[in-house]
Amino acid sequence: MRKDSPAWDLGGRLVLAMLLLSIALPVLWGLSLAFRSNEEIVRVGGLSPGTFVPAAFILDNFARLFQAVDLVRVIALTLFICACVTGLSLLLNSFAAYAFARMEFPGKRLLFGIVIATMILPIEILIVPLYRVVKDLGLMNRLGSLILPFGATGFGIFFMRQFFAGVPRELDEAAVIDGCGRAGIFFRILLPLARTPLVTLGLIVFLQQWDSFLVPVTFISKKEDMLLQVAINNLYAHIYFSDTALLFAAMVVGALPVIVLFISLQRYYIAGISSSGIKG
Amino acid sequence: MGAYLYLAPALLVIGIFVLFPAVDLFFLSLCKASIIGRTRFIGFGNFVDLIASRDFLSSLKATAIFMVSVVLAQTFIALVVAILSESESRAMGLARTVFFIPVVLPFVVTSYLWKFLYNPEFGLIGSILSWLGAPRQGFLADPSQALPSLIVSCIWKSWAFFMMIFLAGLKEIPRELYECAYLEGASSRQRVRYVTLPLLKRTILFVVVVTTMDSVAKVFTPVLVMTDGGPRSATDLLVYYIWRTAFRLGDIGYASAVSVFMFAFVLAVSLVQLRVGREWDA
Repeated sequence: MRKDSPAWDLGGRLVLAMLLLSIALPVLWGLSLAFRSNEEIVRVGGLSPGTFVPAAFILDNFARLFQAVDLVRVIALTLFICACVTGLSLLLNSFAAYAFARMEFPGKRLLFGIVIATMILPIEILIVPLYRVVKDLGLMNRLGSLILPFGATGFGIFFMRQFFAGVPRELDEAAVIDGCGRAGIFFRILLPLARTPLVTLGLIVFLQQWDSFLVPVTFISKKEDMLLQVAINNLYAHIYFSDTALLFAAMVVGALPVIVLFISLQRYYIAGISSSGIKG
Repeated sequence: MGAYLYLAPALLVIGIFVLFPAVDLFFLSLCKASIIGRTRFIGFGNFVDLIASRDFLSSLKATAIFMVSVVLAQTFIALVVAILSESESRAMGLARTVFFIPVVLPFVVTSYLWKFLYNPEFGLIGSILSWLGAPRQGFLADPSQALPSLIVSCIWKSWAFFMMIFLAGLKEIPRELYECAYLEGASSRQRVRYVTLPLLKRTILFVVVVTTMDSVAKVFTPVLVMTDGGPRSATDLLVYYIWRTAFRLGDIGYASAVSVFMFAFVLAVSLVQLRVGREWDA
């Protein structure tokens, strides 16, 4: 039904093809640098179509990377932080969302309004006073400074509340008749039903934390506790300034897990974005 | 009472790490405060200093240019591509996945990628330009090109995110309306003009408002990685200016005043957008 004039159709396809190229070319080019020697990168100079594929796929950059930084430790620590934040925020956000969706209490509208309002405050604006709080709590240079501030978010509470509010209350009532208390309703009825939104929110939080840079670069100065994105930046900024091949190998390591995660859980991620859009 | 038990952990976190800092930010902006020393109340002194500061004004100007360019160009690309790639076919699904790759890549990674794409010696963009016979460009090293170069790289990173929001909005439009328009003999262009766009107004407004705050706040990483604010402060955007004032120079009172100003600035722009949007919607 949406078929139309060939010119319009062709023009549209052309635009999409150009955009595909604008993403594929830079990404593949960057990937190729990770498999070249520094000498080749500079010699090939302005790449031409004939030299787009590396002459010999060199894995040496990755070997050198593992010597340059304690990569296993960095990745393990990053995964640990991502897992802690994801787990904590799923739990705390769901608890709060449950209260907002299912219970009546004085101050409910006001509190929910405040929670929603925090969504317009990006961390970049609060970084200075957040630094003071972190310092006063004795969390400077501690992993807690990377975890606790993200334990609950306005978006997470809002997102889970929207889901819980859509679950028929009859289910709760049936559970009460079967002898369930409030906790029982939450843990036995609502949470098991919420698998999809929990995976979606978990994925969003995990990817955000994997990407995290401002907070660790500001709060953590101990070299042993570097997270992956900070480590990549340090590689270039402080250690191996002209070692382009090494940097790109590190970037591949930094990107690979999120690409795999995204491709395998794409459906959930898209669902999350869609719901945030429509509700606006 | 039970309700508060479920709320307490989350509200405690938000109270300590969001609400308290938000209040503290206003307080700090009215103080002479250094990162190690004591804090002394001085009223609006920081704001007076700020308006007189050339660094601040040039940072504000660069931020405004960045914001307007990103909001307009990124929203336009996202909307056009959403309309063009709406079909359910497998090929389009695959194309959308490719479009989405930059969104999920870590910001540090895409920033370094672009830093090197722009590299004058062996960067991909320079070499493509030289095949086309164009002269060598400075890109990030050239004070007049650095900001546009940064803008292009940031749009490249994020546009597909907003495409997804538009796609969700497009799905809400009833098919019958398109069928009606088709039966009435409307061309594709007319269908977009008279069906799609009017029904997408709210989504467009939402995207514009979200992008405004996002474009101003989410540029710390690319600026630090790609330009360090330079050359000659050409890319010293407000978030970066705030961060380096606070954590490199240690002047957290002044940095807080800049933060407050930046927040008020974005809020004012958003309110105007909402106002205009409401009239436009009516």
